[in-house]
Amino acid sequence: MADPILSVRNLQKHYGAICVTNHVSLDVMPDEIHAVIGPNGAGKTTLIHQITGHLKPDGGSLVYDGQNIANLPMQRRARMGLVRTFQITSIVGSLTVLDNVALAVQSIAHNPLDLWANAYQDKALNDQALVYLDQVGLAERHSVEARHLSHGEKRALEIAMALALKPKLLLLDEPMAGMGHDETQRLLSLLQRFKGQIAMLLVEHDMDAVFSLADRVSVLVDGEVIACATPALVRQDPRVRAAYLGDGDV
Amino acid sequence: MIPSAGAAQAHPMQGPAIFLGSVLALIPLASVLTGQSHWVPLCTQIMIFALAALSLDLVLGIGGLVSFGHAALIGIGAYTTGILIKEGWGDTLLCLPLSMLVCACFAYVTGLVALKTRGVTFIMITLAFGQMIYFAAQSLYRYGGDDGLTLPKRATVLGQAFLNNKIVFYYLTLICLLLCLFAVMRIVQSRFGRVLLGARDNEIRMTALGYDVFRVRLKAYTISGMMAGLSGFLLANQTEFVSPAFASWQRSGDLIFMVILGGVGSLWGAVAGAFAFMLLEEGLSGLTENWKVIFGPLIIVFVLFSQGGLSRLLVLLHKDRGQGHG
Amino acid sequence: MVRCEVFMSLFAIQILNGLQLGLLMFMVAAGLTLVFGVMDFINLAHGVQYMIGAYLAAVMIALTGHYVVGLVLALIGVLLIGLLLEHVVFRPLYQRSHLDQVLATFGLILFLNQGVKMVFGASPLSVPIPSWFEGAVLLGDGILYPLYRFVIIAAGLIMALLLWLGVEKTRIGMQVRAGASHPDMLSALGVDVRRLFMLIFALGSVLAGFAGALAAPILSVEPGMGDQILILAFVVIVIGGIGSIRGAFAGALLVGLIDTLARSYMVDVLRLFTGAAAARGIANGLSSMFIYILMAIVLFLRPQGLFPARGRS
Repeated sequence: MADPILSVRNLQKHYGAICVTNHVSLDVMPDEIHAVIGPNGAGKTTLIHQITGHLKPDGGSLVYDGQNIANLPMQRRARMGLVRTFQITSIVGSLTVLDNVALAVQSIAHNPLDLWANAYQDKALNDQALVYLDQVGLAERHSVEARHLSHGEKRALEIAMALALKPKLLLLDEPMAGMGHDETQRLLSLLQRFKGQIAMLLVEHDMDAVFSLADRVSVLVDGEVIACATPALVRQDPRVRAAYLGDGDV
Repeated sequence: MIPSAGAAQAHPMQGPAIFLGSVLALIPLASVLTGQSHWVPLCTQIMIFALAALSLDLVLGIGGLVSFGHAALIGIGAYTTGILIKEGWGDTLLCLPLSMLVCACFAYVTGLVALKTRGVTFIMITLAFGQMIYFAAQSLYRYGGDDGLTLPKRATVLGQAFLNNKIVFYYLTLICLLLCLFAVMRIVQSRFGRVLLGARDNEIRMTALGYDVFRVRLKAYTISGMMAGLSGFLLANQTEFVSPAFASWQRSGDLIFMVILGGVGSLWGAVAGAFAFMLLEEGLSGLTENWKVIFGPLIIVFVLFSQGGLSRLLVLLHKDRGQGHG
Repeated sequence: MVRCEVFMSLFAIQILNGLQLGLLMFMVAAGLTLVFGVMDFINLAHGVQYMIGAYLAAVMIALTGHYVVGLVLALIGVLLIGLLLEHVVFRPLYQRSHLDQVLATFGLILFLNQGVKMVFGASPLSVPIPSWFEGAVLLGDGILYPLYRFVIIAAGLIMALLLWLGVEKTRIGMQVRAGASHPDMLSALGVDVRRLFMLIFALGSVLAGFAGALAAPILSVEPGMGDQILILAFVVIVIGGIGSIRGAFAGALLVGLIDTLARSYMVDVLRLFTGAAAARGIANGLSSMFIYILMAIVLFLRPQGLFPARGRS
């Protein structure tokens, strides 16, 4: 079996006496979609924050693509292909949709901080950006200022930006949150399309989405992983049912 | 922190800039024809401050960093030039690059500290660095201390006293201003400028895209400092005098107001703002020696009802649309 | 031995001077840090309250011929002017960007400084030291220290104590503390935010005005006198930690002592290298720089200040 793309070992994070990440260990394989589920306040976003470098863990190790990343700043991890989307949509509102994606394309292009040439008329950047916009179904909206997008469109834009960074591992923090049914379906099929090419760590409340996408599911309760198995097995695990799924929800 | 004025800032308008440049190029002619000989030195001085305001607009308008110590950079540039002239090293070919270099270094070093902070703390720390320079200038006993230093002459160009000619100096200033305006417009539209603008709106997003926002800001801050150094060089030559007051925090406040007056981030607006500000000051001080009693409330009214009002509207719009920020 | 004693008593005088400056600064900084920490409002015009306090004290004392009555009237005047400013200028600014706040309050400074100059002229007013506090205290070895300066120190310490009690032990103080550490939580706790802001603002104005009135007899009362102390107060609260009264107290004393000691001893050091006049000139600038260098160092090592408001990161 191949080495995991991401290996989290004994990760710990405390806020005062409250332990938000309690010796969490999990692996994400290069070809899998690994879902993390758990009740509100279980520490899912905190976990993502630590993996991306937004928060510094108090202990434990983070190995990504064979490299210890625990001390690397957020931007370095992003450039290594460890890419995230945000739970609360995070885009550059005053720039156009195209420019938002172009910013992502530019980041991994040659000379990303060129001082002189006009970036907004850079055909190579814009063409690539359009490809990603097309993938998420936003190509027609490319010249709209990003803040004028609908909620679902903003989420799609975030995915396009993430894809444009050519991720090896994509961390998706509740990508379906606040989306309508059609939008959810579109996003599901999009993620399905990249399954196997890009490893994904998916935090999501929408159980249908989780069970249809994920290869494995880790269940996080009170900062602890209480189970990690295939969706079918997790569904049957009595501890999981008791802690999280409740009765007859699934 | 600064409400977005839309994508317009990513595409600064060149039309008004060209118009401004053409009008300014004709001022000396107009001044000769109408006999208004004071127009040339007045406009020279205004253009110098316009240059400083433009450099501030790069960090404040595009970068969203409210620097309250920008006048210090003018002061450093002016003192570097003044000291060199006084010590007999007063050639433009030395004074000009050295003034800009010293300012760039100062901006870089202070930026290393200041850019680690956000919001109010950033305002405070830039203010503190500005004050540091103000007091450092006061302690230059050899160069006039409190009272400032009167320069024996203007900088020479290869030993020739070209800059003593008002018209020549006017056009030198105009060329510097237009070159900087052109350069800043290029920078704003470049990849670098797009990242700087993106970080103003959403710093976390830019970091998550793999950009080192701190480095980007530091670079912008340094470039801005260098340009302010240029304006310091020009100011010292124009007034043939340097004083700690060049670096005072009130002067920094003036510069911010110039930028706001013209419209944050619009670049040519900073130039227009400088003209509006200084002509207003000139006009009011002609009316009464207590012109600040009128000027102060004008600023307040302006903030409360015009630009401020508009920016508030944009902020509300921003919130209504559920714009997040990571 | 004798030289050593002289040195020690001179040193004691410098310490007292530093303490006195620090406590005056504390009174200005305390209001500023609360306004800053709780309301996230950057008020450049806070120093103007100090100036107004000094001017009103000068006028009222001259009018009434009585120090205490004059002082009380001056404080009432400062309070009224503060409330007026809060109502007309500051309230519309609370929700605005820091940039708007900086600019509008900057405009206010221009207006008030010039207004004072118009009314009272540019030359400094002098305020007599009240007769009960004239004279000096013997500090041993024939060195005298003015009694009035002790009064300032005592008044500053009492104010600090009252403020501490008020913030730590009262209900309103609890709201203020909650506001300083978690500004967004206030309205969630059911606090009347508008009233609380007004209260903090009024308190800050009166404290700054009181500092100005106290300082009036020993400093020259002149237009723009508030600007210098305002910037020092900003330094103080950034060093101490925004929103923290403890921080403002520690920061003010630190800045006061360092400024005073640096000023006096740097002259002596510099005199070894250059003439007396030059030494004085250089020392003035350098010692002022010292404070800002200290602030930069503190911010670099502890960006949240030395004593951050509890719970604020």
